[in-house]
Amino acid sequence: MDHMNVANPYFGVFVLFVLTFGAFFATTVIARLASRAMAAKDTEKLKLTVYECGPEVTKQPNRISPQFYLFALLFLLFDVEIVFMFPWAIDFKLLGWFGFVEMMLFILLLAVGFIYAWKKGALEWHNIK
Amino acid sequence: MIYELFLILPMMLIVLGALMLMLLSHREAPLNRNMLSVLILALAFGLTLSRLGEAHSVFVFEAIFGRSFIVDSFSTLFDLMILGGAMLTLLINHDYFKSRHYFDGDFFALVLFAVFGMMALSHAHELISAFISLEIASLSIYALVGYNSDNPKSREAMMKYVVLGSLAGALFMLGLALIYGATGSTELGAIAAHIAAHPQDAHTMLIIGGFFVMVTLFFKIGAVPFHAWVVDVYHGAPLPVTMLMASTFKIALFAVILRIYLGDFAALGDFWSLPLQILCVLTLIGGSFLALSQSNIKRMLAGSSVVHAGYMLIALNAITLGNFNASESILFYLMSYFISSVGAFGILSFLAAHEHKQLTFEDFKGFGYSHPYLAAMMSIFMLSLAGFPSTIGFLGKFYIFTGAIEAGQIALAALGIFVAFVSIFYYFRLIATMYFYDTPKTEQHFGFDTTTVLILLMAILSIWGGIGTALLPYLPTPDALIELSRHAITSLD
Amino acid sequence: MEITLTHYLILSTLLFAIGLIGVMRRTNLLMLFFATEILLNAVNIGFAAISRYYGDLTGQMFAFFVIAIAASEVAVGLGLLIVWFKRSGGIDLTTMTSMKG
Repeated sequence: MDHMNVANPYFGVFVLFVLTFGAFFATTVIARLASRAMAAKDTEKLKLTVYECGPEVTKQPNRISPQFYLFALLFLLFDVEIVFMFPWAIDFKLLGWFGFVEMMLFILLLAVGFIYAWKKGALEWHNIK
Repeated sequence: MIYELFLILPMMLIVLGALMLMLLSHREAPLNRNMLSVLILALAFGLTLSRLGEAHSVFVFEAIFGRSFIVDSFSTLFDLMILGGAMLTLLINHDYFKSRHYFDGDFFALVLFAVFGMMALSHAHELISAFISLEIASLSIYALVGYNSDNPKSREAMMKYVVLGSLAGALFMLGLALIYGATGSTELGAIAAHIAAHPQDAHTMLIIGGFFVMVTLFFKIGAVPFHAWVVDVYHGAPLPVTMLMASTFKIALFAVILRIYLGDFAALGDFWSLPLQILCVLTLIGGSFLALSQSNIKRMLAGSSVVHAGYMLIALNAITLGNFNASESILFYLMSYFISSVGAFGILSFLAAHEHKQLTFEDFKGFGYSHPYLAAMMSIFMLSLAGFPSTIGFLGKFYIFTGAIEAGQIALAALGIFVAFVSIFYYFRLIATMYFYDTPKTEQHFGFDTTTVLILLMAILSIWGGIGTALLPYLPTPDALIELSRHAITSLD
Repeated sequence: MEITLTHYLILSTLLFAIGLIGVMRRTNLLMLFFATEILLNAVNIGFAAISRYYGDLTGQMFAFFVIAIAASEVAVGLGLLIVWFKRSGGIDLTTMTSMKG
């Protein structure tokens, strides 16, 4: 039966699938148990603090402003839609006017999103504190 | 071409309405966005209603979309339920929207996008389009859950839901890849054809794939091993969003579950039965424990919604055992649960809008004396949710249990009845709290406005669904609903 | 050695397992989103490989959709994360304890 020829390699994959899952879970559990069992259990209070002497830990002064994340996020959103345009561009002649109109509709939808983001002031620099 | 455009016009209307609301949102226009979105939903509802009862099954724009979107009687009925559900949810929260400052234009645009995703879900005839629709609905709901970002509970609920939800989405994709690998297609008809063409195979990979897909869907309806988020998210979300998730979103999810089970995995019924039975037992018992241990009414209703999902899983299990009549009982149960839970949540939203309470059991002490009419209606909803005879909830449970017994699932039906008795405890606890405590508060005036009139309508529907059959012979009865569901199901074959 | 479908599928499974462990073990929300991204891209490799195996382009088309969906999911997630960060000043899962369900 020809279907069995297709199904056989997959069954091997499935077994591997189960095995890898098992291996990963086993590793995490064993690592956790081992570290718990072998760790030096010295619970003197001072030893558990970050520094036994010296200055208190302070926040880094040069933290990146979260505003960058917002820009990155907008970029990501509008950038990823390119994946739909490459196949369209390659078969542009074949798809003809129909494809063109379809893509324009798609870009229009993106433009609506862009106008919305613009009007909401997402492109301006806010100091998030 | 024109006919097909007409078929998808309701969905297009919703999307256009959402885009419009989105672009209007920054403007301080003196327009009532709630009413605007209700108007859009009502237009789509009317258009869909005109097709009800007409037998059809069309793949829309088959030349472009392939066989990924279908419009049939089944999806029409579900569209009506989803649109009606969203409309009632928005209307019943009318007072609540006015009492909170944070509901601006974006909120309603997101609600419309979520409704669009749910409608697309009921139309999906391919697993990939089902996934995209599911994501459209889920992404909107993630944002809606955390909409009140000043409230730490709302933010926390949102974060929990996003993290667990995206994990569930990834599992769906994994299952999809396995199904694609096993059958070479993700279109529901092609999968069924593949199973029919290879009756001798064990279909190991297909079953594993289907299992992952089902895990995601059961996660979204909150069945028990995957229920960790339910109570917190329902509690943290703003009340209208909780209503939308508990009723309307669940309807859409059952649309896709039923479509998959009835059309696709029917041939694999032997395999599905056992996991589903385990899931049923866990969901019924675990949900009861969840509901029993809560002191906040919103959390109690969230816990009990898990139990209600469990009842519907009993019927789903009966379907896998070959009793296809049970699918009508799921549809009827969805409607009955919708009516009772929207009513109960509506009262909570009315109270939250007017009295800014935390809505614990404590707050309901003496409620029967300060708000006699609302308390009476709350009692009706609680009785209906508990499945008390002469309410619509009783009929819903009755159909589910008879379906299970017909399929030979006596033990499950017995467990369901037992759990229904347990549920009387936590529902009647609220009724007892309302009536058995004296209160210094004086009686409040009962005013008629959008919210209270709709709550009243829901209460009347709950009673009418239970006893109206005998009293008013000329009005449509629950049997008509069952007939409608049966008609819708036949279009699946 | 020839690289066959099986190898691609093993790679995809391994990546998926890594992503799953990431989701379960990490408490930093940013890392959680990384992990979900790994999960979805693992599935993408599987889709592309199976599509090549069957000589059927649908699978690759799915991969495009998955990319778009993964991007929008992460965008929504990160957007919500920024809101979370603005209000609570940290992005650790262990700080979420105001409700116990």
